[in-house]
Amino acid sequence: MAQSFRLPLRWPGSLPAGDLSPVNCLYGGGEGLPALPEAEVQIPKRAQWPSVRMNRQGAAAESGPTGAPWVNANGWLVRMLRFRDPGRQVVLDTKPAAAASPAAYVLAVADAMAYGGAWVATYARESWPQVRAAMRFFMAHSEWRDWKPVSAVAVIGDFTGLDEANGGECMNLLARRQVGYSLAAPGDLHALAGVGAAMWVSGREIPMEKYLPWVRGGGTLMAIGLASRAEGSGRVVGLDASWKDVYGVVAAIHLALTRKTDVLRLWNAGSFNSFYQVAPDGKRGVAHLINYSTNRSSDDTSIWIARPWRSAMLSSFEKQTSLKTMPVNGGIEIPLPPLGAYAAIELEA
Amino acid sequence: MITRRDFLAGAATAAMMQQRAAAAPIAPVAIQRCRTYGHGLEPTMRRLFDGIGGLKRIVNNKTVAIKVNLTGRPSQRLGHTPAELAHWTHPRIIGMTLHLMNEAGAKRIRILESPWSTTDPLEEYMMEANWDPGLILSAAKKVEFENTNFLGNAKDYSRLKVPNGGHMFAAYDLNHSYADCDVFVSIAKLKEHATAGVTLSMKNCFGITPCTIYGDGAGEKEPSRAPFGGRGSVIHAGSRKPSLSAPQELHPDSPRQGGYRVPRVVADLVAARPIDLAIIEGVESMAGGEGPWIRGTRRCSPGVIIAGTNPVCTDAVATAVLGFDPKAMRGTPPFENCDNTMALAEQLGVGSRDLSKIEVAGAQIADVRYEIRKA
Repeated sequence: MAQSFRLPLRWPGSLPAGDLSPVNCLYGGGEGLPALPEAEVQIPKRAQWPSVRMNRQGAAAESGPTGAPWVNANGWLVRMLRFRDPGRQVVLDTKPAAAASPAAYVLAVADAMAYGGAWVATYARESWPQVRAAMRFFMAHSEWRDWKPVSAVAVIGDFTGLDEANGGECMNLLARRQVGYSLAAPGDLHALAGVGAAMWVSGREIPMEKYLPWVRGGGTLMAIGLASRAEGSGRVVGLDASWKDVYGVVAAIHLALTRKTDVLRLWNAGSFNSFYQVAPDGKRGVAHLINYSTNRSSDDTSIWIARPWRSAMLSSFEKQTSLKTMPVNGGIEIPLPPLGAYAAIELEA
Repeated sequence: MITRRDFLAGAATAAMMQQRAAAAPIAPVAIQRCRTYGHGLEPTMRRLFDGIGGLKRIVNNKTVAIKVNLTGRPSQRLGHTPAELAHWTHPRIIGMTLHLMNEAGAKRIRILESPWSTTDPLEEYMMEANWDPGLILSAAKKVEFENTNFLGNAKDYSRLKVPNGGHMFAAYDLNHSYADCDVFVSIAKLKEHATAGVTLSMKNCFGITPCTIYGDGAGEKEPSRAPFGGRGSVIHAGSRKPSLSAPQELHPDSPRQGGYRVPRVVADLVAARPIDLAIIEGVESMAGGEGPWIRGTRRCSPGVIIAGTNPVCTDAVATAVLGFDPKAMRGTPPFENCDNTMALAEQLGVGSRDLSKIEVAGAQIADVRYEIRKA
């Protein structure tokens, strides 16, 4: 329901001149639009300004063990909060640095809205046209909020307390590997339909008897501390990792899944996260590409999507471009033009 | 200050190296023109191996270890170009080699590489590049992969000594796969190299050193459990030592410069772990450097495959195909900033780079010459 979706603007005084749509409420005081009803939304304190994390001198990007840069991303947080409380919209209250470029503002919009959340927009005259265009784009595609994530693994937890810390970081790092994931509550077997593997991040004991039928039917159930074994057509995998090193946990998950289950792959995209969804009827899909470096990439990025979609269209906030696809390994590979902070690849069967 | 004794010792060593170089072994090298990785590849590679006396005499009833070149990260490409069409050995070349080795009676074939900063199996690494490792696994009867960037499946590293002493190290601690084989094959890509001038069958073996010992994150006393980063600090720059469990540098006062150190380490390695079959594929490749991380690199299509049983002879022919003189010394293309690896390997008695003595079968160098600096 597009009308009830809150798009707040941080503006303490009377509104600036000009068209502010699709902004529809104000956050932190101000006049001229209704106030954001804070009780009706979730505003997480853990949200971070989205960016490539720089070293202390600010001169170079920090990188992880693979050499890929660390990014401050909120997609996992938006998805986790939406899962925990689907009735309350997620709003990210993050503020740009004084020197933030218009592309950085656009990234903040995409980092929230691609995952079904909203960003408390900060008005700056030079960036406002792009911020508006980005918000309007996502509002025009509001149906994407309800599309299913294409996932190789379901992350099982209730995502409170320790679950939130472990599960959240696990999701954050799965996204850095472009591993498609969905979320499932402990004991909810319906949420595992169509997903080949599940990772137990909950601190609770696994109700193994409940999961065994799913495993025996071909599922892979992963957890730390389990004894690995085959069960019917599936397997139980005890990961050789510790929650003290979530990077190691996620590497072990990916290894247990094997890259055969990758839903997409990216090249020359170290600062990108992706989020790949499919419509309920399965005939359309979208792969969001979010570039945390915000710079229009100088390297040519390519993407492989495991499903052989018939056509692909690149949608940025400015235009749509038809993409050339090549069949590779049962899916399609697509060379992409230089990308800015965000692009969507719209797919049709 | 150099003493008279140092001077005499140095002169004696130089004379000995000259003698070894003069007596270095020579073997024929075969060249085949090859424009695509498609249907014509099988007959082309058959002719290639026939040109050096066939594969049967090399691999029949043998355990074969093949070092391929999968340098850099699989998530990095030269523009939109898949790795195998630029800087990686093409999987069709690997698969066809396996197929022909299987026909020639190879007992078991192990594909080896030390992938960037990971203990993941090679299959996973290949999939990340969008390869289907199943095509390689099914190309011959008994094929295995091993990631050699760490200890792997063995209890200990294997220590391989450099005959005649070595330039940089007297011995290297390597993954067991480089010792547990009857035949060692290097399948390289025909490329230039920012540090070593060219990267061919010998330079491909730079990657046999495990980063758990020779890498930026190597353990100080003992090898680390997992590799971290590349070999920049230990081998290129010499700014830190390999793990103390491994043999240490022979000349710690030698230049701390990649162009000095890398060619010497490579020459040592191919002396310590002799290459029984060198295959250099340049059907599609890249110019200007060894990977997309080098500025100014670009795609190129040399359209050629080269093979030989002596890596120095084979690299000498390949160097000439690229438009360079294999006898060129430091300061001369392609060795503007480095020493000539072929010369250093020749000094260790590995093989000869003297084109006038090397028999070339199939196409001739002049027929396929591809001046890569002009590509």
